[in-house]
Amino acid sequence: MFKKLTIAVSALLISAVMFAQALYTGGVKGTVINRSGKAPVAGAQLTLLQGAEQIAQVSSSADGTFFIENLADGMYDLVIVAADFIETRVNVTVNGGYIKNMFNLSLSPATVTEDIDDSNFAEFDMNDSGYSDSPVILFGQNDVFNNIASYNFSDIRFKSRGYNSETQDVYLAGVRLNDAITGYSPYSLWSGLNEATRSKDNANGLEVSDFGNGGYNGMTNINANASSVRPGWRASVMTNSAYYRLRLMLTYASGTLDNGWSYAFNVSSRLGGNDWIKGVYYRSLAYYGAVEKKFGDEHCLGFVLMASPGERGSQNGSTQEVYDLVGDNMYNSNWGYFNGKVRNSRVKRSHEPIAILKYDYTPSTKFSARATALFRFGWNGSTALDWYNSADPRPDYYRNLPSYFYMENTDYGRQAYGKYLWAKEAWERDLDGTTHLNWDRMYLANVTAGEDGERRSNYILEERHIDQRDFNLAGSFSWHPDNNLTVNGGLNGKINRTEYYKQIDDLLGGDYYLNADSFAERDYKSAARVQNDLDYFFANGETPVIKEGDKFGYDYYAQIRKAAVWTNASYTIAGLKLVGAAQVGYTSFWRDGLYRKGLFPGLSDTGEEISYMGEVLTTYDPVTGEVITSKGKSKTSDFVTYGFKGGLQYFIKGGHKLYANAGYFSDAPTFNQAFVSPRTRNTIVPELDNYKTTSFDVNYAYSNSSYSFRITGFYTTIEDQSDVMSFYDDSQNSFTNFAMVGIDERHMGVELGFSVPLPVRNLSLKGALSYGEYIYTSNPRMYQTVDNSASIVSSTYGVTIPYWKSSPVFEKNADGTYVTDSEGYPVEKKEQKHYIPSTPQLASYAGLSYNKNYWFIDLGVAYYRDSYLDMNPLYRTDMATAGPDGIVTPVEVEYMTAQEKFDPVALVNLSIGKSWYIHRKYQIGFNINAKNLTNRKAVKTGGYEQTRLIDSASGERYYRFDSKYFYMAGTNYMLNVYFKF
Amino acid sequence: MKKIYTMAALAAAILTITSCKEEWEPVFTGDYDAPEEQVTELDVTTTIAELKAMYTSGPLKIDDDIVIKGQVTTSDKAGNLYRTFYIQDETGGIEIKIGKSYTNMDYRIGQWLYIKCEGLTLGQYGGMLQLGYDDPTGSYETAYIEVQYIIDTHIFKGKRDTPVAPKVLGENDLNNAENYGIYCEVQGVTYGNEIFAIIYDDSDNSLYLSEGQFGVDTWAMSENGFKAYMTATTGKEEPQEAFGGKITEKNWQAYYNAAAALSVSQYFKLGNVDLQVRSSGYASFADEKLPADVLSGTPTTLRGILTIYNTNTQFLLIDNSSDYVIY
Repeated sequence: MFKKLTIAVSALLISAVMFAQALYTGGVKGTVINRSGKAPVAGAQLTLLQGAEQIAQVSSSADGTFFIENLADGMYDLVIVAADFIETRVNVTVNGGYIKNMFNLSLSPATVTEDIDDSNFAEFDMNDSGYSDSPVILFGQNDVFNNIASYNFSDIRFKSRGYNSETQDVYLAGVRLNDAITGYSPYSLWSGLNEATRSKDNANGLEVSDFGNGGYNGMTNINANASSVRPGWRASVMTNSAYYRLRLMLTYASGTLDNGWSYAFNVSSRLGGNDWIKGVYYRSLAYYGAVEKKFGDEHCLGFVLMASPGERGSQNGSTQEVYDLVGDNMYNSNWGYFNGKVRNSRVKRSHEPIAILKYDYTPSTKFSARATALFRFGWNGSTALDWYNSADPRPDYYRNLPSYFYMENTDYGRQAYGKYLWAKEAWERDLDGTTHLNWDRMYLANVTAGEDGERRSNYILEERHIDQRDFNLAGSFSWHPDNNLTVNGGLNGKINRTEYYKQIDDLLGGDYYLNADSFAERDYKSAARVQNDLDYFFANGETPVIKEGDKFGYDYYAQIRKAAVWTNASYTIAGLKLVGAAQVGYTSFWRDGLYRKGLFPGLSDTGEEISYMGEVLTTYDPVTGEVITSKGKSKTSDFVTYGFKGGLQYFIKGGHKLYANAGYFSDAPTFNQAFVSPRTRNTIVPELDNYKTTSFDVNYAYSNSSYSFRITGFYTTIEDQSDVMSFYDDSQNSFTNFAMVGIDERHMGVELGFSVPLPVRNLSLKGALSYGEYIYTSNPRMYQTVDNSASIVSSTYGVTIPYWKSSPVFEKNADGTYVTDSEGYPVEKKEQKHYIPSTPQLASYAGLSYNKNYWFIDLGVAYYRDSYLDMNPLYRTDMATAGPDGIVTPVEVEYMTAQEKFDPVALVNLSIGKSWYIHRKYQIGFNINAKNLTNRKAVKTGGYEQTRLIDSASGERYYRFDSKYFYMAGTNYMLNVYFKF
Repeated sequence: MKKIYTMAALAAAILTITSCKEEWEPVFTGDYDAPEEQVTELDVTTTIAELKAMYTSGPLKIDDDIVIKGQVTTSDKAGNLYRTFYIQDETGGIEIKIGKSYTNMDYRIGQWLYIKCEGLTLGQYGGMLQLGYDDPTGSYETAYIEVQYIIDTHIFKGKRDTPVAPKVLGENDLNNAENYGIYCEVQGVTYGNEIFAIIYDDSDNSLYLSEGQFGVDTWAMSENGFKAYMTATTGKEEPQEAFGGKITEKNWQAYYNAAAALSVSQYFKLGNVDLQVRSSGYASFADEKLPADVLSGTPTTLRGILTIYNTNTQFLLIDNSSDYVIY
């Protein structure tokens, strides 16, 4: 890049004809942009120097442009200063009295913290842990709040404005790529490709963009085309203590060559474990290759292929009892020693390439259009142990813990103190590998299983697959007829077919496994009912014998179709900008079962009931009377979606901006919220409907030279959401499916960010605050059914969950007894609200930032308060609060329904970076980010309540199982060394 | 310039080395052979008969360094034994209240086990001696051992061996305490047309089913089997007579509400001795009918563990397969 600049400058010098003029017509103009986002930087201070003499000083306007006129021919230095960006100095030569157009002057963000993958946070293991919320990545380095928050708040897994990550729209090359099944942000698809995906366009909150209208929690578009990758070579070596040991990365981009071609590649590997969580490791590669060809000024065609294949060991949450026993809040129960090596039972493996073909059409500066075809394919699996007629192998299974043998409260009926001591000692001293998985035991159980002939495995590793075929088409245009009006619009479509199935990953020393449903075997003796693949059983008269690599358990397609058309327009007049946007779309999905399951065989292909040995297997829904099917297509669910947005922005000279936005959205539920038990049947959640969001924000921002400030007030309601889960219900002695509908939320609060220079040169004060109230505002309805039979659980079917949005706190006397009214009922003191979990309602940061001569030092303190634990709905039902005796008491209600609040915490973070230029040709640099310097190890980032109940000895009430938690790592660092040439 | 390259190379090298040190080490990378079975042999101090003879009355917590050995004779695979198994040596057999389910995964029939008895408790239940752990509640003389670490430090696996052959017992051997807890065979028993079982209603009132067969021709009843039996008269889920009128239309609902797996003793006769074949409602064969030939009086050979419950001689089937029920 610098090489090129030098050549360009020299060429200009040689050809220059120099003469002086009394009245200068020469000048300099250009646009200041953010290097990473290619977004304009407003309010940058540009100082033009000739030698040491200051010739002129201007600020960039709202669209990043600047203009310095009346310049004599000659060589100048242009120094650009903007908050949150590195001070940049460029040479400018004015000659021939012309206005020198510098075009885009890109500034590098001064945050030295950008280099860990966003996906590390998004990839956090939530599957199968009951954990349903993913952390949030904040967009944009062109916003003072997001700049600070995205780095400093990430460890606590802060959710922007309390919203789920699904609400953030992530686009790749103009295609919205949030997961079709779950809505989750798809960062893991390109983790490790930091350089290739660095160039982004962002919009915050309710803002709109030229690639889509977005929702209410921001949007980003990763350009990913060859010409958007920073030209030249770049190599880096990184190590960090919280995720993986080593990352090697190499990138090259050609930039746009004279013949119109550009090409780029980016490869990386991420390897090794970390200091904090044993068993968590990476063995991942990532590759990206792109070519692009410009045909004249109008046409541009690009192709990209990228993927991030590899494997990664997962973490698991445990109860506080376990963490205390082993003396480590980062304890992970997923692994055990095998042949002396750490072997993790939960490994995520995937290879999901994305191929993109993109066409850009730019016939004039006033109109541009683009179209993208994007295909995501490959496979995605995660391993887990499965066992048949065997003991639960997990080390922290509740029956293995000391508390299972003894509890001080005699009502638990656990009084075996001797056994408690044995178990406690074994855990505390890790005797006989108590705290880990015992692989040897599982192997031996398999190997010794069949004394005669082939050995049926009792323990296996299964790999749960979610293999997506996701095809997208998107087209959009931007029309900018004059300086006042901009109109964007587009349409897009998606066809997604995702296959869900399990396959045998490892028989662990055995020879085969059977494709039978061990849950069904608990309830049914019928050989047909327990079949996962009844058609095979009927055809062959036996349960399928399966080996490594074979599918088993369940196998079905999720089929999703989406289409949408959108447009937005903005009109600027006299410092006032009006923005309007509208979108309408259509979503439909269905399940297509590939197995006929013995529990729910439905009707035969000729429409007759299916029976076996005289017993009719076909069953009917107890509510609708419809036949329950597992094979073939479910009913199609169709949803019309729409959204509107409006915004008003007012620019005041000097870098002030006042703006407000409003939006209303009606969005379709996702596939994973729509089926009661997609593993086994086609039944759709009752009352499934669009969820509706209304959102407002009011903002004031100030940006000028080194000052930067933003304050936002927001108010959002989300209504009619649904959720499904499956769990073992002790009151039913059964595995059950649980659907919740009509979940409403309200999010309101303020967001504040600032960066202010201090009297000491090069030193500035930075701060961020997010303070809100994110609460549930409805008591949803529940629909509980038994997994094996689809029969309804009458007390919890179609009934309101009475303690979901709040729990009562009752008036107490001085002696601790409850105050009762004249009729003997307890007196309610207050209604305790229930909060959106796993994010602090108050997150703040204040720190100092030093930035001189390519040194960056950031030191600050983050403070978090009012995080809450994710609730399970079962504990908020009348059934759980009444207990086995059916009598509700205030003690039971308070105990069972309260939501746990986490302790507040303050953390210290430090970043240091420096880079050197060598001969203006090479650049070498490093950054060290050290987090949680005070080594706080008791910071909960999330967790969940187990759904199990303990019967009391008195038979009068239930006790909860202990909740499971995830903790933040203690002091951790990241060191990155890079070299650019 | 050179300096910079050297610096960069050095930094990269240091990073790489520090990275490798810690974490390549433990991560599992592929296929390994299955681990070898660890076989332990301990010096045996005491026979099972000697151990049993130590019991006088009340739970006996063993403080001496006593080691017994024996071969596993039962399996919980069919679910008729739950959280327990039997071992025996030449002198006798004893029940080990291990307190873990699916013990047949770890302890195969025929496998030798060495048990360090120190710290364990010897007690009796209904006349049967059991080795387990101290029960602080006093409900039983012995509790399940249950804690993996106690198991690991007291029960050691020896080599797997040919299963013990059943000891053939005659009519007069059935009341000999020496034979309690051993794997045996009774030949020529005939069906007694009588059962014993206790059922409960939803208020925990109990109803004794004895001195009759009540049309119960299965080994036991699972919950579903119980429900099927309770609705057999009309074929519908509605109040009706069951168990030969012991349950009437009036109290039917109370018993139906409390439907649960039901253990049943099926009576057999060996000469003049009643032998109760007691099976669990959780056994996989609970709802299977006794073979028609057996029901109709064909003399049968049974193999299982001879037990006693107070004054009743009982017999515990390990499975209902043709290895254990021969006719």
